Amino acid sequence: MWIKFSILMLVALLNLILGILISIKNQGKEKFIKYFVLLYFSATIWTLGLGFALLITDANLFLIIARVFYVAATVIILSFFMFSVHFLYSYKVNKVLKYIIILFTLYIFYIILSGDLFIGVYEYRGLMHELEDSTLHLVYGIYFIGIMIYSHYLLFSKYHKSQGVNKSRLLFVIIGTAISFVLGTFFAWYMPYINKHYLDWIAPIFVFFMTFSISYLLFKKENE
Amino acid sequence: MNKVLLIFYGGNQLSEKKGSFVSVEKESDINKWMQAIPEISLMAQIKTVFIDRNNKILDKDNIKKLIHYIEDNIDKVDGIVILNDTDTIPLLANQLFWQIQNPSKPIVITGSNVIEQDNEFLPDLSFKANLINAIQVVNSDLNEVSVIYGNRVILAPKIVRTKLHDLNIFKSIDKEYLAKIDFGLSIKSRIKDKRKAKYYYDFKYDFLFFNTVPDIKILEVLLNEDSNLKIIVFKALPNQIIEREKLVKVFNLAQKNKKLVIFYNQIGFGKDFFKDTILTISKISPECLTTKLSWILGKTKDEKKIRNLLKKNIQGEFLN
Repeated sequence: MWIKFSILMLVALLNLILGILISIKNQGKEKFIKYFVLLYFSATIWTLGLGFALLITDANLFLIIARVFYVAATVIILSFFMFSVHFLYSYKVNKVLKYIIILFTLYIFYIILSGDLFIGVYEYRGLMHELEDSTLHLVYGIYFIGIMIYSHYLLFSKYHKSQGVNKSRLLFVIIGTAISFVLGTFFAWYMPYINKHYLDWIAPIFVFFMTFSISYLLFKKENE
Repeated sequence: MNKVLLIFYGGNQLSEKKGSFVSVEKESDINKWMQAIPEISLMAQIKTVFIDRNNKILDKDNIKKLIHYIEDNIDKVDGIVILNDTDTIPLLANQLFWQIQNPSKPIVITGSNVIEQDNEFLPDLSFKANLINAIQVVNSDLNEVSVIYGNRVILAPKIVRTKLHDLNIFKSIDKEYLAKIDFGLSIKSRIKDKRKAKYYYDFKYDFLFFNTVPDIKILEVLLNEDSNLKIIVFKALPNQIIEREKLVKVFNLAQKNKKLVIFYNQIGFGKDFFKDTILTISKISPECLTTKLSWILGKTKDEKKIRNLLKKNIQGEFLN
């Protein structure tokens, strides 16, 4: 338990550090930087939430923490979506699609924050574990994966139209985020969906791929 | 949304998928060109200006027109992007660096690099990206005359071309960049005196720049009292510094015929034994030196003032 907790605290710290580094190094006024920093800060809170949830013995406190990490996870995917819209230049999202995403997001926040509609809790061997309503869990998965796919579609279409240095920037971002999101979603959503919650703590570790690819862009030395 | 003034001064060939180019050769071509790069219209409100140079890139009237457009519009926009042929970007950038001092908004120069090799036109690998990133620079607080190409934003006095065709064809002489495009735009702020923007419309190229010191007999003709040439700049190589007698002869000849002789060496002079006699200038790029001298000659003909201004570090133009 303490090993898992320590790993998650380390991951949370790395996310926080990289979020701070990006905001310091790229202190321009670009919107996409602000959204990407928000993504990293949300990932920090999500990871901290998952970490502390491993140790909680009080059901009420556990429910609060579970809501916090679900909200953080939702902010992660939303900030990634906004990042993909604004990276390099702003993509004009279809109005109907925009309203669907807004309404769906409001519904998601509603189900996370209201009572025990979505998130429940049970005790096992002295520790608390979350238990989601399976239908709403599926709805949450559709929401998360849908936005993830659409965001990557936006990045891919920008990649296809890009040239020069922007093409390589996009490639690093796409590879890093795609691997992180796919593996993260598998362990954080799919495994709990098939009642294997005990592996959800692994999901934050895959943020490492995104961290690695962005760090490479930020710090690589050029041959002059 | 930010407002950007996009000035078509040259170097604007956009490659299309089929291997052909879209370029602006007259004002009516602008619409079609803008349709080929819709991304920049999503980033900012673009106001366009076309300057018909008649193939005279550094012609005085064309440069004056360019400065005039910049001065008239800079307060109405968030920044200015100038498109120019890559071959003359270093000279144009340095000229504008001297003619527009302390700009109140970013003035970013970039261009399309189309080269002909083995009877084939090689398209630019970076132009679209350069344009998009130039507008990103406009959105920052980099109130300088700078050049963006590839992933580098370079201050005009430091720019040097190092490659014919590549992602980055320019580099900074001292490897210090105003900004770099990595994940976003990493800006390295430059300490500048807070002064009001100044626009200078006059500059004169009444001098010759030699890459070496010619034979004294040739110089006797050039430095003749009756010749119109008033100033000569010689690029002095280390062995020529050692050949002190030759340099002193040149100086005496110039002094006798009331000409100003300047010795230049980019890396520096080992010993300033010329001090109050021959004017030596170092640690400045050749493009920056020639444009600085042209700017000075636009202000004054007084030799003492010319010497003082050349030696003075006015805008951080001298390299470390």
